[in-house]
Amino acid sequence: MSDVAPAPEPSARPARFSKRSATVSLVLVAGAGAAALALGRLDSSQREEEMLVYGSLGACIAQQVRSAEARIAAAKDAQSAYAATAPRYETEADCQRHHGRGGCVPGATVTEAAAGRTLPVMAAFMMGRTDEQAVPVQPLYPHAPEEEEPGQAASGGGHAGGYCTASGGRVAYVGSGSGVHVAATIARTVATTPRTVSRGGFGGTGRSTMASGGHAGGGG
Amino acid sequence: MRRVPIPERPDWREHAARAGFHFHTFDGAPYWDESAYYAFSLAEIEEDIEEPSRALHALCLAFVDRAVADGEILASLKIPEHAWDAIRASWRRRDPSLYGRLDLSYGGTGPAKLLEYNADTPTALYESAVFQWLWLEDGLVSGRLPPGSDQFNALHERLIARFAELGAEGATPGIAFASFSDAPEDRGTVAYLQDCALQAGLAAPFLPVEAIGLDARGRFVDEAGRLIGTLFKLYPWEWMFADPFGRAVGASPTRFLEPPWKAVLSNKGMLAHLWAMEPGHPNLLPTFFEEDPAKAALGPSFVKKPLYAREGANVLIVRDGAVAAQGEGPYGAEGYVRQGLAALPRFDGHHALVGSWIVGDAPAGLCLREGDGLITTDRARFLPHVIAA
Repeated sequence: MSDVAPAPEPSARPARFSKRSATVSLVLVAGAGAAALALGRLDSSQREEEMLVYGSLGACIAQQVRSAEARIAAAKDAQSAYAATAPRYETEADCQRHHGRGGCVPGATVTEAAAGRTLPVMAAFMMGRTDEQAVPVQPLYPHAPEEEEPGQAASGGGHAGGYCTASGGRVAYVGSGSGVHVAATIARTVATTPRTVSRGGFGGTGRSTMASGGHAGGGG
Repeated sequence: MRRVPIPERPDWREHAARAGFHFHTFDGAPYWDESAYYAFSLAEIEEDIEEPSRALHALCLAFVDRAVADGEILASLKIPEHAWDAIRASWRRRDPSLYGRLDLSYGGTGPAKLLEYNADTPTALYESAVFQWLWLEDGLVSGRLPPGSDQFNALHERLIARFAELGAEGATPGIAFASFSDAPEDRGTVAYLQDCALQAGLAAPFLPVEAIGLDARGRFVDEAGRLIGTLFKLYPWEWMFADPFGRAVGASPTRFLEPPWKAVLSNKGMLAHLWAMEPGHPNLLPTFFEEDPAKAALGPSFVKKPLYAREGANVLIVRDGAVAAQGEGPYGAEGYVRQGLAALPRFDGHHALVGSWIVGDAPAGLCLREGDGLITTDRARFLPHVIAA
C-alpha cells in the first residue's frame, strides 16, 4: 500500500548502523491517497446512508417512497425530536451565528421546556430510504455560520451551508422529497438531550495574530 | 560540517509532486533548495548534535517538573493562570508527547548552542522525514552522491512507532488532527502526521481548528458531535489558552498532542530558567528575562526575543551596541528575554540553522535551514544533508 517506496536494494548501505529510516512509504500524502486528501475524505472506512429529506410533514406524508405507516411515524418522530433535542442557545445572536438570520425562533414557541432560550427552526427532517436501513429520523436545521457563508447568513434563507443535525453533523442541501447520501456516522448519531455545543472557540487568536502580520499558520 | 554545491535535479519538482510535497515554493521563492547540501561527519552528528539534544531535552523535562510546582515560574512565562491546572494535570499524568524540534547554532566547531525549543507546533517535518530521505536515496541510486552516504533521519520510522505506542496506551482508537485548513504548510505537515498515524493502525480524521466544538458537559467534540478522545493540534498552546475555549481544556476528558505541559517549553522564557538551573552548560547560551538586571552581563551584543513568537518574528539582534538585525511581527506584548549572541555560522555567505528533531524523548533526525540574514524566518530555505561515508 505504499505509493512512494525505494527500489529494492538500490544503494550500497553503509557497513555501519544506518542513522536513517530503512524505508519511507506514504499511504495518504502521495499517490491515490493524495486525491482522497484533496477531497477531504481521509476516513476511508466511512460508510454512507441513502436518506430522504423532507421540508415539511405534509411533503413527507404526500410522497409515497416509504409505507404510509412509516411516513406518518417519521413525521411524528421528527416533530417530537425537534422539541426534545433541538440545540438551545442562550441568545438569539448565538443561534443566528450558527443558523443564520431567519433561522431561529424563541424556544417557547416550540416547547415550554425551552422557554427563555432560542432554538433553530426545523428546516427539514431526514429518514432512511428503506425500512431495512433502520436509521432513526432526525430533524435538520439550517447551517449558515457567519464565518463560512457571510452573504447567505446575512440575507437569511440561503441554503449554501446546507443542513446540520442536532449533533452538529453536516448534511448537504437538497430540495424537499429528494434523496441525499449522508455519512453513516452522522445519519446514526442521534441527539438524546438538547445539545448546547458551541463552535468557533478555537482559532480566533491565531487568525487575529496572522492578520496583524504573523507567519501564515500555527506552525513554526 | 561542509556545504557542498551540487546541480539540482532538473526534475525535482516532478519528484516532489509524486511524493505529495506541494509547499516547496513560498511566494514564488524556493523553499526546498537542493542546489547544495550539508555534509557532516558521523562524530559531528552523534557527539555534537544527537547526544547534546538528548541531554537538552532531558533538562527541559526536569524544568517542566520544577515549573508545574512553582507558580512564580509559570507567571514569569506569562502563561495565564486559568491554564495552570491543565498544564499541571497533564504533567502529573505524564501525558505523552509526540515530537519537537530543538533549534541549534552549530557550525562544526565548538558545542552546539540551544537557540530555542519549538516543542509545541514544529513544521518542516514532512520535508525532513520524507523528501530529504527520498533525495538521498535518489542521489545514491543515480551516483550523484558518494556511495555510502547516510543521513541522520529516522523520523519516519520513529513517528510511526510513536503513534503505535500512543495507540497502545490510549483508550481511543484514533487521533483527530486539527490545524488551519487554509495554511498550506500547516495542512501539509498535519497530512503527513495523519499518514504516519494511519500506518500505525490508528484512525486519523482531520478537522479545521475552528470546527472543534464544546458541548454542554464541557467536552470537546468533532463536527458530528462525537467526543474527541485525543486531539493533535498544530495550533500553539498560547493561542489555545487565549481563545474562548481555552478555559475548558483542564476539565475536558480530551488528551492533547502536544500535551499542555509543552506550553512551558515552547516559551522563550524557558531559556532563562534553563540557564539559571545549569549556568555554564556547554549547550546553553546565557539568557535572562529583560526585566532582570543580570542581563547586563551579556554586554553590548545580545539577541532580544519575545516570550511568544514564531519564525523569527520580532527578534532583535544587537552587536557591539548597534542593531544588526530586526524581525517584523505582531509579538512581544508578553515581554522578552535577552540571550547571548551565538551568530549562526556562515557557509558560502549563507546562515545555516540546525534543527534537531525529538520524537518521544529521543533524538530522531536533523534538518537544515539556510537564510540570507542573521534571523531565520519563514523565508529560509530547506537544504538536505548527508553523513559523509
